[in-house]
Amino acid sequence: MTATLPMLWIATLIAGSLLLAGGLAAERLRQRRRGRDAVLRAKYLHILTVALLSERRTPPRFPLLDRPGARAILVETLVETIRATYGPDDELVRRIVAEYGLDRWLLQRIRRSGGYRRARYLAQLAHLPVAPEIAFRVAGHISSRNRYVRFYALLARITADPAEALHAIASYPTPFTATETAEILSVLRRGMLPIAYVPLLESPVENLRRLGVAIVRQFGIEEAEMQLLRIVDTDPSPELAFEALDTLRAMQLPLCRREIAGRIARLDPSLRKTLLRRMAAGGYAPHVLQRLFGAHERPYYEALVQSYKCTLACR
Amino acid sequence: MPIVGFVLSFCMVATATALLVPILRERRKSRLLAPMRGLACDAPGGIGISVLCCGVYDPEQIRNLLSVEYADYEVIAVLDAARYPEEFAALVSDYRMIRVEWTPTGELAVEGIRSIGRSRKRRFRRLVLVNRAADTAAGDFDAAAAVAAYDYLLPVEADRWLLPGAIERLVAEAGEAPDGTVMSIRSPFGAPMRLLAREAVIAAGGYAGRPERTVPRKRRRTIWRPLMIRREKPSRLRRAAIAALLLLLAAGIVWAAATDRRSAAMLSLATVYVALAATYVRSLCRIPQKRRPNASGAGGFLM
Amino acid sequence: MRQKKSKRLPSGMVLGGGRQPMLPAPKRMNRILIVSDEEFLRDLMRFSLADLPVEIRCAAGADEMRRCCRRGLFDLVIVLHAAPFLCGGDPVRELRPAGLRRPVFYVVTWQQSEHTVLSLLECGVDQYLTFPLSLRRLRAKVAAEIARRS
Repeated sequence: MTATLPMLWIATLIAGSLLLAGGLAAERLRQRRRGRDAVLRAKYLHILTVALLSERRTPPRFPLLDRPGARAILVETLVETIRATYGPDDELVRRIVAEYGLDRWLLQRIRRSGGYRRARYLAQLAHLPVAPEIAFRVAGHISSRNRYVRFYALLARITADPAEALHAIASYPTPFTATETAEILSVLRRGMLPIAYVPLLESPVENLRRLGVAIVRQFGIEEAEMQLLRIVDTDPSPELAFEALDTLRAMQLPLCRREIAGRIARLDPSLRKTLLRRMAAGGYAPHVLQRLFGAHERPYYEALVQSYKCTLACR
Repeated sequence: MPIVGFVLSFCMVATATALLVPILRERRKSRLLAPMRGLACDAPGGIGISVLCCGVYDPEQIRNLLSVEYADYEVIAVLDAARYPEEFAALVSDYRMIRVEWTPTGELAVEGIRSIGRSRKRRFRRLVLVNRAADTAAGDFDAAAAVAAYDYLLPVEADRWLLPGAIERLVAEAGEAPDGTVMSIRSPFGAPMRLLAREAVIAAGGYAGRPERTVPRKRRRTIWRPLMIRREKPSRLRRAAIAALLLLLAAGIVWAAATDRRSAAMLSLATVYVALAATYVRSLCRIPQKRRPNASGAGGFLM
Repeated sequence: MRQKKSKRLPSGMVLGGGRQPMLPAPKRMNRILIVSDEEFLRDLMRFSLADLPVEIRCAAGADEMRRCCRRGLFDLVIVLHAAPFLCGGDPVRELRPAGLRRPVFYVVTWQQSEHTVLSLLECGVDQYLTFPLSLRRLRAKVAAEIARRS
């Protein structure tokens, strides 16, 4: 036994070293291929841009797709173009995806990978126009332990099947972060999701209310003021109530309201200070702040307002 | 005898693997988050970052810090106008600074601030200039923190250059958890940096109180890739320390070989493993020349 | 004494008084500079404007933009991020020769905040656009700008 353990350990070290050497070699190869991949990416982008601008109906021909890594480059090119532009012909992109089997290729990659790599493939799938049945193929990943896999599986599901978007968001197990909400909004702005803000703000589901608040903030919808005030006053989630309060502040709406004063009184001291700093930077006058905050906080906000005064005068 | 060799080699391999795994994970995470940079630039979660500069006189470095495209972001440069009058005057002139009123808010004990300047031009509003009598770096950072408007503070010294996407990566990490949960984010590679929540700095009484040590472990995050670099090469002392460590290792292997061949084999193989891991990590963390701020032909490795 | 009138030939050449054909002055191509540190975005813009009657150059950042503009006069500069205008200096005024309205500056950025918009307009930027961008609209704007210049 005592003789076997060192031999086993030596064998493990040799195997580990070989594995690392292989990883290093693969990384060096990848770096060398970068130049070649960049040329191929530019070629695909050129073909795609010309096809989108010329309003052609049939998918163009992308050469060298049988080369290793070429399909990944094509997918990246399509996804990045869709992210950076709007108004491209969805039907043409849909035909390209179907013609070259990019959705099946991505599903295969999703199945075979894990962790952040799987999340990246799901994110790419979420940005491509694919058939609604794809939504079912990715639904299983919504219960993943990895936050990003969960979220991008949800995004892929709702973009593949927009009719079920609200239901899918309502049943999502975790509250959205601000970045996740921004991702959903970007999809919404592209017109891939038909969502109106009023039902969202009045929904009993926290994630839907969060999305509603984000829509109101993104588009500066002042008509939603009463719904926001109701959330500030009565929402059971303190984070969402603060988000609604900050949205009212960001839209420069009047803040001297009973609901707002009540919520501020219940806020965590650090959040109160954060709100105070944002209000002072946003140009709210001291008399507004005086009504919402206590006398012991007055020197703090007066000092802040004084410090911002000259920048306000120069605007 | 083989036990000693086994334990030493195990420790070496375990340390190398413990560093390699999170670096590989971070690489995949960065590739996932890179396309989201555009969405984050309007500060969707209201996460704001104030960069606190101490000893930063190089206008190119100020430009590098201001080149971040993120809405809730500011740079607070603390300079001693009496000691560096030309540099101070150059900043005032280049950024059209005017003196503004300022009274201490009482959150931090700050002394020596002579004046605060903000730009009269809207496009330079993110830069705040603090004229303060120089004493310690902690004092300068405290002064900048007292003036800062945002919830997260990033102290920066001279010759620290932000890499593209650094601020967005920090924001993505801070935004993963509910508001205020993440209080410290550090990046140990390149030029090591640490983003701290404002409340943590205030609770510690300022930077002299080592606020990074008061943050509970579950509120700390680490980003296993460089976000900031230095243009100067590593100091002679550091190179000498690395050389001494390698010599010690070689001596250990020779000693082991003289006493027990199996220990020598284990130590040698462990050294090969660690060397391969280090080379792999260096190739992963290598920054292409074109992405380095003001690339001047220096080598591409950051660790 | 009657002066001979110059005779206009079908090709647009003109026979002058000395009976030597005078070639029409060559039309100067409109020059566009695309500035971005992301190669993908540079290529996207370049390919979407490729079939317009323009000469397109690309620059990888603010420093290269300055070098290109100092070497030759561009009609239009499309900058695909806001950083060069917000981190110091006054690129528009530096790169426009005195008395000229060229080059025209278009800025395309991901940022949508009012502060950024107003800051860019304060710098003298002529057109502010945001991502995601409609390539057709951009082409139409650039084509209109070129037509206006012609």
